[in-house]
Amino acid sequence: MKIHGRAWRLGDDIGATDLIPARYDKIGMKRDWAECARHLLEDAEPRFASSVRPGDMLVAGDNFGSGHAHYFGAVINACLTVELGAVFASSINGMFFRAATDLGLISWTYGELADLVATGDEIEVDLERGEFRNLTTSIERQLTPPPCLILDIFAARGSTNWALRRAQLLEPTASSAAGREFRRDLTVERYIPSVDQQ
Amino acid sequence: MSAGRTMTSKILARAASAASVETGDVITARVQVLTVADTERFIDFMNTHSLRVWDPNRIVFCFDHMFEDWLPSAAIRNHPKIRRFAEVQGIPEENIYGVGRGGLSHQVPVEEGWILPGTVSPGADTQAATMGAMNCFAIPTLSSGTTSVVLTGELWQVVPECVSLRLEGSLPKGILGKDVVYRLIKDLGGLLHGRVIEVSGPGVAALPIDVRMAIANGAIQMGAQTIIFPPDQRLLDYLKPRARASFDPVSPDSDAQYAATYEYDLGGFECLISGPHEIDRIRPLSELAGLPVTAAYIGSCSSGRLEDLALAAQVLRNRKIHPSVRMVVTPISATVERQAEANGILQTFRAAGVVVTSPGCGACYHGNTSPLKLGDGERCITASVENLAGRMGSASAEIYLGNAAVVAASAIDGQLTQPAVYLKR
Repeated sequence: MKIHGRAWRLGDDIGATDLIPARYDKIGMKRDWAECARHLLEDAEPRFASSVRPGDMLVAGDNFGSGHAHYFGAVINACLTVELGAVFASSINGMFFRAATDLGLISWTYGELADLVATGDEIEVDLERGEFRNLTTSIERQLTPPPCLILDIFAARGSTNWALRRAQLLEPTASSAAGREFRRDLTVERYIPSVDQQ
Repeated sequence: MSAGRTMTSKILARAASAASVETGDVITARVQVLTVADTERFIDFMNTHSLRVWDPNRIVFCFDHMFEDWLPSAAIRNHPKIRRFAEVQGIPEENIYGVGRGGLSHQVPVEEGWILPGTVSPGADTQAATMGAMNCFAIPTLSSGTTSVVLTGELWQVVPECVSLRLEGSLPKGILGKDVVYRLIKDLGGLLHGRVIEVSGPGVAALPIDVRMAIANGAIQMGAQTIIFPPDQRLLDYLKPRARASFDPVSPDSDAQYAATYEYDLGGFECLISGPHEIDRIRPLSELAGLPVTAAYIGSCSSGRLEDLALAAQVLRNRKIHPSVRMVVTPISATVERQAEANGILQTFRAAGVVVTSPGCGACYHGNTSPLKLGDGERCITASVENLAGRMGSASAEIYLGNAAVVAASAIDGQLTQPAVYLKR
């Protein structure tokens, strides 16, 4: 599961209404994700919506994704619409992480990445191998991969497909399984990130 | 030597059939019961793909959002669809809380004994944490995560960090769960980062179950994933006539590890007001007293319980609503409605000029009760959940949130008013 794209470096406390300002709530209520996408980061990073490309990643500081769950659906679906590669942050609100993961938007807590990228850098993250590479600055780092259960949900592009596989209702498709062995019986998995990541 | 365990880690370990779990572990937790409102979309997905629910006996539907006024077309579409789905799936009719048995999807399952201590019992609705008052792990799966639970009966979960909320003393007269919620949003709003709040301390014993549920109801607004109350005699007494199965409550170890501990004396709480437009814009009622209002509302999952209705009725007894104000009350469930009828509470409301509606989410859900729906430029005092612009009607209306007694006192005066003066006499 390798993600390749440009980084958009954001600061601390980027909440749901920083990702899409609350004044566009009605568009979200209408589930018009394409229009929501046109307002992504409109106040915090005005260049984003017009120049984001598939695979691009948000790299944020602390407390990403705070705010009311009411706004999460619009934000996450807008990110999926522009084919955002992933969101990495020093810390991610637990409810936002759940909703993003359920809907198939990859997000993970990698505290050290914020210091290793600037907006516009070309970066590559291999989640399964835990490899980070900044192709612009030639910096490389080894990261702790997310737990297999989470990687399984990422690979399935969300918890609905993941659940279909767990319940043995659907076999992994070649494109989304990406060569992974699916762990159907896993129920508990210890996760100890490296000290840098915490 | 392992560190002391929280209620959260004990419940999650049990549900994952593990001896123990640590913060940061990823687990799949067996779900005891999933509660679902009438707004969910997973039914279409299940029908389209001819999929089966994991266990038809463990899903509870509550018809709550779609009753009133401009939503009947949605209700006409959705309610029969839910009943057809239940029939096809073998979900017992008993599990479908429709008109006459109904109410909110995190209230009725508690009243009806589905929600048991020590279990993982999520709900599809954002305010599902309300059920954490039952000493269970109750998080909202939202529409994004409900389907996977329906298919597998498992909840994927990163074992969260917990904070301790230690309560002492007792709430002064006229102070309700909403005042606790707003104080916690004000103090802890930026600090919780999706952690779980575990309540403890001698102050818990004096809190009625209704007030505990109103406090747990605010978890998401505080920035927590959920809130868990400890088991005590009052909870066990509440559950005794209701519980549908045996259960095993959890208490934290005395040396349980918390990321932070917050201590409060409930005796120091006061009436707080949230809004307009932003939930974390919180001020003491004393600063806002005198602000004119034209609409007043008690209802939704954050009020509308018997404790709220009884206190509001004390304020309104032998008094009249101000002629410039319309006041509407929506009991949270059919059971609460019947209790309030039997206690004379609804009669007191009607005598004061209050309109009482059938149970449900009422005016909180996009102003769907016609007598209350806000017009342009109106100002409303309400004990409901949200104050986003446009939530209860016109986007140019102002929604101020406060407790049920504040709503009643303000409806009498036509302006924001301290309820204490009416509770004394």
